[in-house]
Amino acid sequence: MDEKQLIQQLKTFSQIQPDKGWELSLKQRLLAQDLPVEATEKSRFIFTGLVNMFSQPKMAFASLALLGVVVLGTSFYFDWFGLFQNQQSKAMAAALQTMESQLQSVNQSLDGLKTTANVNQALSMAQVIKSTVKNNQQVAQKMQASPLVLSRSILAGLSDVNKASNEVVAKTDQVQKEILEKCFADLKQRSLSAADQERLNQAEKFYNQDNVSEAILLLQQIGQ
Amino acid sequence: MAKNYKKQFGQLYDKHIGKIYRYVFLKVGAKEVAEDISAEVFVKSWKKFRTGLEIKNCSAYFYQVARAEVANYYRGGAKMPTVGVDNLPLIDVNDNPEANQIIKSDLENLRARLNELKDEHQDVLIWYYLDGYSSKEIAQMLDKTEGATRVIISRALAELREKMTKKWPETLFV
Repeated sequence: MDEKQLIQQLKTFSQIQPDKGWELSLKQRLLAQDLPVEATEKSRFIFTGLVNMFSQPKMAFASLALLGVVVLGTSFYFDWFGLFQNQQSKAMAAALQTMESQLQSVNQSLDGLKTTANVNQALSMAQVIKSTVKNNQQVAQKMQASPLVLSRSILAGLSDVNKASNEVVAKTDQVQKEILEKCFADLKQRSLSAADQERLNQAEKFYNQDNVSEAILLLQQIGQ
Repeated sequence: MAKNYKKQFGQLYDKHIGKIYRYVFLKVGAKEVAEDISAEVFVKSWKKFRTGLEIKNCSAYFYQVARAEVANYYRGGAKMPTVGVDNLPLIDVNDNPEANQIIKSDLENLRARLNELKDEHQDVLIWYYLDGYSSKEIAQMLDKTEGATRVIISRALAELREKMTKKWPETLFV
């Protein structure tokens, strides 16, 4: 084989190209990694943790599904008025269906959070999931309550998204509760500094008052 | 500010995604793995980019991250796969399925021999012959002189040719 033939063969590899669909979807997911405009400051802080968790193989599936929910949800924020202006409700109905199945995927992968080694990240992830799903749910509910006429398929889609969102939030609450109780039990057996002990006591108080986000913030400070 | 970063990174993504994917695919030989690793490269790069930290040479940076991710992949216990000839994602250039099979088989062999070269040699061949970088640009990525880079490219090609000739003396292209 001479050099010319070898170079010609090498150049054939330039035909190796990624899937266009995958390429576009990755770009969308990457650049959508910012919260919608109406997000709270706390949610924005916790959300940046999601970018770190994206790289963890065990949570990659839940992360991907959740990002799909975020991307679709974000488009709701900015396009929902346009929905009533144009007649392309089939596309929106399809998007709602996709969102519902993404929510189901997130729901299915939530149990994985319970076995994740990094408890802090699991707790943060659960908060992000809840916050993001609730934000999207609020938009879906606004649309449902709109006085304008929506097609039957969209109303059905919104109802399904609402139902799936409720399920995710309920499951996330349950998973969070299990992780937190395990966390409390584990920390009580350790010898903590006075400051950390105080944080643990306060975290437990917040948890008993149903103030889970404050409890998590305190727990994440223990040992730092 | 955030919008500018997004736009800039979006442009970098468009320019590099194909190259990084191809680079990774040539090293791991599997589409899904190449997609995962390439995604990881851009996630990490975006994370760095949006902090506003200056990246002097974005191309070099992307390849550096890609190289590290591929190394992590193999460190995790993955073995160098043999890509089934039907899985080599190349466009069929003619209607002859038998010829295509032979071509793909030769190309898989080439891919395997390429992976036997040391990393730097693999990189320069990919950058020069596939990605279209000039020897000057490659020199900047390697932080070497242009003259030294041309020598490396030449040596890498010679080494690859030697491996190809040794292993497959009866290949279609001899």
